[in-house]
This record gives sequence, structure tokens and C-alpha cells, in this order.
Amino acid sequence: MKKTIRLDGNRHEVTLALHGTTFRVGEDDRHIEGTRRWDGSRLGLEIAGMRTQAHVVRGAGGQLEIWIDSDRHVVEEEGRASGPSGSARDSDTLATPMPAKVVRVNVAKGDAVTEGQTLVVVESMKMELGLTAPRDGVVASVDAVPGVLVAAGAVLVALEPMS
Amino acid sequence: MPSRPITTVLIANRGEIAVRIARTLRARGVRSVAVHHAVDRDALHVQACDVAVELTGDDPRAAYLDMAQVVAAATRANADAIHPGYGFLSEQSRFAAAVEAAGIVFLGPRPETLEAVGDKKSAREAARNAGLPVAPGWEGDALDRAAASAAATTLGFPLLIKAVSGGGGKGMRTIHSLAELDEGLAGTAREALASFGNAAVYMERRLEPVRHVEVQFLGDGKGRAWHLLERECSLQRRHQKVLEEAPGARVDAALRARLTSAAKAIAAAVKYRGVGTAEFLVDEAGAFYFLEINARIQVEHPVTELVTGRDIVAIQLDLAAGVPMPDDLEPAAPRGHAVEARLYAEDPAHDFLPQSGPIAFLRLPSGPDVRVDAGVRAGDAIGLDFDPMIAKITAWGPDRGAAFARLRAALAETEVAGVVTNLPFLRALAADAAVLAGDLSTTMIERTIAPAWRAARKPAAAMQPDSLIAAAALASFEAATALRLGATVATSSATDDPGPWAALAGFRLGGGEDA
Repeated sequence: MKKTIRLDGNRHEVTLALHGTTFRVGEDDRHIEGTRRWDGSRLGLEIAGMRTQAHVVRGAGGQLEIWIDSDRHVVEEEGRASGPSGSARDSDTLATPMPAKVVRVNVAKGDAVTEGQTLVVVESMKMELGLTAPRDGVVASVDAVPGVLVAAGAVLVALEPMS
Repeated sequence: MPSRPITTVLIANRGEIAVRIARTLRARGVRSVAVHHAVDRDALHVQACDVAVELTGDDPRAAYLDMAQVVAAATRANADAIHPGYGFLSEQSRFAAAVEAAGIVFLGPRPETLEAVGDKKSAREAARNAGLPVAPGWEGDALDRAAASAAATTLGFPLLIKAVSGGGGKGMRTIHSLAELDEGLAGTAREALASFGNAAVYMERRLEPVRHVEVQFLGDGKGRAWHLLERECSLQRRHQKVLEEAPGARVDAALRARLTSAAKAIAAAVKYRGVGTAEFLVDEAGAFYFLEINARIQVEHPVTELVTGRDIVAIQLDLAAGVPMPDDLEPAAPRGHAVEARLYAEDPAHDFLPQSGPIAFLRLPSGPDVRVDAGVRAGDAIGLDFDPMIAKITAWGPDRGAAFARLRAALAETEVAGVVTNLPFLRALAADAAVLAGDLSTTMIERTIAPAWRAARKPAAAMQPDSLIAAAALASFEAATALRLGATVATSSATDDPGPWAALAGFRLGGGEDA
């Protein structure tokens, strides 16, 4: 079967053939074969005598993650709704990089801001983090209220798109 | 000093330190009592104790800080003593006083000592009175911005703004110019109020390059003090220690003698009771400055235990029970070398920001000369309420090089899935050439090691190995199949069972074995 995935943001069109525990995965003119085991949360692969194990987890945002040797790799499956990242460009939005509590909101819709200006202060584990404007612009929306808990990646401030 | 036997101890803490304290209590046949909030009902520290008492309240963190509830729990469980661990209530003089007022032994310094050394201004004064050098600073009224501004100019930049009641690396920030002074003072005061209930701050000249070396000491409360060598904790990020070792990487016998004498002088001067740590900054010329006293057991105490053969929790119990200290308590020299790495749920690729979420899989190292102090297990979630530490991994070796080699092996054996950790960074740190050379400073992680690590780690699109792509495609297939069958891929596998392939430590997808 054909499958299109994005692995850590990189698109791959692969063919997948399964026979019992054996698999063959091809991309372009290359392919790789081996055996696999799946226990509902972990995928064991044996390729050319080398065994590895991947932990397969649904992340908080619903994205599929494979964890290999403590490293996270995000797998997006074509045809499924994409993850939390919307269509807005990174330079248009200000998101919290960690789950946190909003401490202060320094701006309101319509405010002009300059690059580097602290727009929102969040707190996690008693540590404060100032979130700064990614560029000069005008605030299009603010979705942050002091005292409210926000998830990692939550967009707190959006800027008007650059003309 | 009370000298009745201690048969039941309540541990007013959670996480790895509560588990570690319970271990010594069990070894000594002392009954252990855990306290926990409902969110920690099945936590490791609850299972490690003989009895558990639930603390109520909406806010889990506030529950552990609720002095009245903790003392009531101790009374209810018939505890003779309370061990406060580190953080939480450990250095609150009001708590120590409330415990003693209830007729319970506080396994820590006297309330008035906590008051004197917990306030960093008065600790600096006590150190000066004991003849110790302190870093140049300003202890005036921070609300008087004109005076603060004049003092900042005199002291020079970079400047540290510190919470008077701070500790554990929290409530502290660096400013580089007068323009940052206002937000620096206000921000530190806010954090200080939130974390320590006291908004007072002071300023100190930031000395650099500098090493962080601290002395483990103890006192009998009557003016007699001992030391248990030094620890070096120069490897820090955001003022939080990451890798600690004993003895110091470049502390010779002469410097050791000066540091340990200074620590004992201040401990004796305040008639310190219990165990504590005197923190110093040591510059390139070997001059040192007193920083502060941590009036509690410290996170990094395992390295001291491994090079002295002493159990610091046991010493706390003995001191409280009035048991005389052995004549040979002070080691003539360290026994080998020990190094501890703190495994945190934090993202080293993004400024070490804390991470949260369920731990889907956790494998911790074991074997000779490796000690693991863990506070969580697979299936537990790292939340926002508490410190995101997963475990401390400590290795011992006959010399510094051997200890680091053992640590590298232990970190290679460690595996975490489900939550991003600093593990890959710890592996790099334990193999860093400057670190191995002992060429340490408190700023080297943020200045050189972390940026270099991040640059080397940038993923190149074309470099994704076929085996990784295959794993992704197969995982995607299995997840889709599970979804079709009405099953879901769990957010956690929550098991200690090693999985489809057992014993894979050391093998990496994409080839190669990691050191």
C-alpha cells in the first residue's frame, strides 16, 4: 500500500508491504526489509540483524509520536487533520513553548508592538517567561487571561498579517 | 536536645527525596509516614512509606505547604519527628517552630537558625562576622529605585538580583544594564513572593568566570561542627544545577582545608544544629566568596554519600537523637569520585523549558557503582505543580575519569519516552572535553556547551535514516489499524515490561552505538 507521512516535518511517500511479521518499506528506489512486532504501544523492528524499539504514543495535541532512544519524532499521517499548528505563519503568532499559567498580559487588540517587546508573561514551575513579539506589527487578537492555564503551543497573541 | 528514641518519622515532602528518606528510615527500622495530596495518591513516595496521610485542598502544591495540616498529620500518625526534605517547608522557620511547639522533633536546624540563615541578608552578615569573604553587594531598600540605581552603577554589571528568602536557584536573575533594573527588581520580587512568600530582594555583583563549590557540614547545636568534604556544582543552567560531583574537579587539599574551615566557622558561630551546606564561589585565582547557607539536605547529597560512605539522613536522625558523632566522621580524603546527573523533563533544544505529560516508558540504569534516586515511574505524569525532576543518576569511580565513564554508560542505559527530557544533553555534557578536563565555570553550559549542542543537533531533512522512516510508516499503519478497530494508541504504556524486544540498551536506529 502507498502511504504519505510527514516525519518531523519532512514529507515521505512510501510503499508498505506486510506479510505476517515481515515488512518492506520503500521510498523512491530504496527499500528496507525486516521483521516487526507490535504490542499496542511499542513497535519492535529487526533490520539486518539489528533490533530497535520505538515507543508509539499519542501526544497531548493528538499527534502521533514515535520515541526512539528517548528522542521524540512526530509523525503526521496524510489524510488526518493536521496537528495544532494552523495556517498562520510563526511570525504572525506568539505561542507559549511550555504548559504554563498566564501571569500578565501587556497588550490588547489594536496595539502597535515592536519586535522583542514583552507581550505576555507566563509562569511554569514558579519560573516566569516573557513572550516577546516576533516582529513589529499590530495586535490582531489576544487569547490570554491572567491566572488561566494554557497548553504548550497555545497561541496567546496573533499579529495582523504583514501587508 | 531531645534524646528520646525516634521510632516514627513523617516525611513532609514528595518525589525522589521522600523516597530516599524513606529508604534510610526503613533500613533503620523506623516507621515512615508519607503525606500526599489526592493527585499523588499512588505516587512512588506514598508506596515507599509504611503509612500515608492525605493532605486536602484544591491546589496540590499549597497542600504540601500547609503547615497546620502537616503538623496535624504528624500528630495523628504518632510521629516523633518530621523530616522536611528540601524545598517546600524545609527552611521555613515558622514551620520548624510549629513542629517543635507540637512536641515533635524537627529534623533540621532550630527555627531561629533558619530565620538567620534563610534570610540571605542576615546570612551574609553572619558570614562577615565569622570572618568569611562575601561577594560585593547592596542590601538596601529595593523600593527606593534611586538608591538601587546608584548602587547598581557602583557595583557594575552584570548584576544579580536575588530574593532575600530565595534558594535552590530560584528567585534570581541577571541584569546587564541600568535599563533592566526596574523590571529585574520587580520581576524577581514577584517570583520571590510567589515562591517564598517574601518579596524582598537584594543585589550582588555577578562574579565570573567562577566555580560553585559547596561544603557539606553538620553541627551539634552547641557550637561543634564537622564537614563532609566539598561538592562542585559549577555545571548549571538558569542557576539550576545539572551535574554535580564530589570532590571538586580542581579542589586541592589546601583549598579544601580553607573551604571546610570557613564552613565550620560559620556553622560553629551560629551553633548550627543538623546538616547544612555552605555555598561558595571560587574564582580562577582560588579566592572564594561565601554565597549562602542551605539549611537542609540537598538534592546533590548522594555524591557526598558515595565519597564519604556516610548516610546523611542517618546522620540527621543521630544528631536529633543526641547520638555522639564518631571520632573519624571527617574524612581525611575523599574515597574516589562521584558524579550526579539530574534527569529533568525539560527541553534542552528550547532553553531547557519545563515539559509535562505522562511518562510512557522509563528505563533507569543499574549495576555496580550506579545509584538512582527516582521520584516517578512509568505511567506517572510530570505535571505543572511540582519540580519536573525524573531522577538523579549518580556514578562512582576510583577517580574522576572513571566516575564520568561510569556515568556515560549509565546514561546510555537510560531511556524515557512520552515526555521530552534533558537526557541527550546530559549524555553530551558527560562527554564534553572541557568538562572532562575539569575546566568548569557556572556559565559554560549557557555560553558554550548548550549552543554547540543545539547547533550539532539541527535535523537535516535528507539525513533521516531509512530505518527511522520505516519505523514511522509502520507506526502510522499500526495506529491507523488500531483506530479502525476501535482501539487507541495509549498516551502511556505504563509498564516496566521491556516490550517487544528486551534488552536493547545501546542500540540506536540509524546505526551505531552511542558512548
